[in-house]
Amino acid sequence: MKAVNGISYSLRKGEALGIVGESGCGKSVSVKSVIRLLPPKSVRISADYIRFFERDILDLSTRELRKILGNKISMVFQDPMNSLNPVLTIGRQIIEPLIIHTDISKDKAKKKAVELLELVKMPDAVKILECYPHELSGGMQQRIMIAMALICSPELLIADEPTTALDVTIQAQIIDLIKDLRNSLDMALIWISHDLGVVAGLVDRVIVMYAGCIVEETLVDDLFYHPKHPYTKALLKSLPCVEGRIDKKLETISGYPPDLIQLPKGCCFAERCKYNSKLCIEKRPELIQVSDTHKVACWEYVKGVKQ
Amino acid sequence: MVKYFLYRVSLIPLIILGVVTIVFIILRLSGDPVSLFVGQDATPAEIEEVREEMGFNDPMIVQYGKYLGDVIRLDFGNSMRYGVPAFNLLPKRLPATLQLASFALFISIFIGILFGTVSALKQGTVLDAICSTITLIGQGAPVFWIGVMLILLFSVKLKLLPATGAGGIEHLILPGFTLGIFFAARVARITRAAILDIIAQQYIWTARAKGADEKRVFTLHIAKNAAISVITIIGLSIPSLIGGAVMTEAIFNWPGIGGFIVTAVFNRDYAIVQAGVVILAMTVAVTNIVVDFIYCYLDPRIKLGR
Repeated sequence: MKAVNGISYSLRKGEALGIVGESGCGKSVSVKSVIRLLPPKSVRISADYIRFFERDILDLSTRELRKILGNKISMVFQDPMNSLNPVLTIGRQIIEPLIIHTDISKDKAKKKAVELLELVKMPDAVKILECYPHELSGGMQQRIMIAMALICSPELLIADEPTTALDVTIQAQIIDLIKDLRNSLDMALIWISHDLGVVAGLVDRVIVMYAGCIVEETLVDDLFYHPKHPYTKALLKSLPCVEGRIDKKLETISGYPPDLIQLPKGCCFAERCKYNSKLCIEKRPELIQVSDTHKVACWEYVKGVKQ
Repeated sequence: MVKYFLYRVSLIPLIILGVVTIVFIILRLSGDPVSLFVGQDATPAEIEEVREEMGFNDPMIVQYGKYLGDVIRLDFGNSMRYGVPAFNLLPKRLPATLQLASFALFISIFIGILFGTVSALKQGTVLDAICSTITLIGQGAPVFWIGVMLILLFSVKLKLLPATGAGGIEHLILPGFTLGIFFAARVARITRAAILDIIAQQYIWTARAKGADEKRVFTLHIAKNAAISVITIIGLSIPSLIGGAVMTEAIFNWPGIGGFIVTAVFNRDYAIVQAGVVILAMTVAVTNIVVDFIYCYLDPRIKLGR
């Protein structure tokens, strides 16, 4: 089964990239495969290269890769309650990246942990160190995950739907926190979400994924104001509008995503697309540049092909 | 915490009460209790005499009351065979049973955890299959079969280890393994299941995302969580271990309290049986409390008491 079907993107230092798509489109898997955080016996990763600064990390040994994880590249996961070890204190878990990657003493590490907890705006930082995960709320746990991810001052933070498991008000707090942190630390961010609204105010660029492919890639404002791919357009149309009429029926995208075991030979979205043609069903469109900052994978934008 | 400890300790007399009451009932359920105290060829007159003497003609409630009174004073009656108060004969045999049970426990923990861990970490490989098969045999084979097989192999054929008696460490090995193998198998299966369950948890991936190597992931993250299930099963096994010692002691003629009780059963020395059961129940109750407290130290999510 091809969870990811040929994707390619790049990220600049300090830039924030959003990866959006529905459940099962491969956004999580594609990012985890970059840092090989998937069960090795169940997956095969194949790529031309995966470059982090000047290094190709695709061929790094596991040992070498571990030096980067938690240190230069950190990850925050979706469900904070299950992402923390229930039998270790918060303190021990937060300082773990420091213990693994530096020679720092335990006391200094604990001091740094308190600093980080204050950075993520946790009240009573010192007391929290002695608590266990189950004693804290979801929002607090996620802040701890973020603190844990930032403690070694990584170059890149990957956030895999970090607010999906939290309620809306807490979601807003976490998003504001990340915005503040980005301003103060010079850190690149990959934010994965199925929620377009969340990425709107947070990232610089957005990639839209569908059935393991990238269908559109552009600056965040362009995505919302000038979407090009039919899927993106349909997604935006399906967002309920607060100002619209109350009795207006919500728009949906008819049909279902394709079976990843038997991907169609043409465009993955063709079956559900309003504009589909014989070409779309026969041949898969490549991701092409339609402007300096905008790429899309759709035959509608390939000159001379559809007419 | 202290309050809970005192509460648990205060339950012990209740447990003992339950045990002695059950013994009381069973004695009277299995036919005429007098038959336990007279020989096969006793005349009806002699039977009646003993019946009157032992108070079996009194109303049940009176018998029960007298019985409880005796128990409190640790008076279980005189041993028929030895002629002295039954209770005096037992405590000095308890250490031997505890020695055997401890050794078996140590073996079962060590082998069990080893096999279980290897099985789990090498899941799906030949090693896993081998360990799982051995574990299955260990859990399926009855203690007396294992005991006799080990004697045949190590004592008779190889003449390496003594078959019976106690003395040095060489005497402890065969009975220890006989008793320990079953529990080792049980521990192994639980260990394997616990580790496999924990490996699939999200927080293990968090640890890897921090750059932890597999050794650290295992010792710090997997082991501590798996310990909860493993300690539970060890704790639950301890009463069985002490009870299983009975059969093992009989096979190897080990001078412990279990074997002594078994002999008393065959000799129909009821007083010893009664006293022995109470002592064993007491041992089990105390070890259960200790295990409970170890358990709550391991898992911070458990809050004892109200």
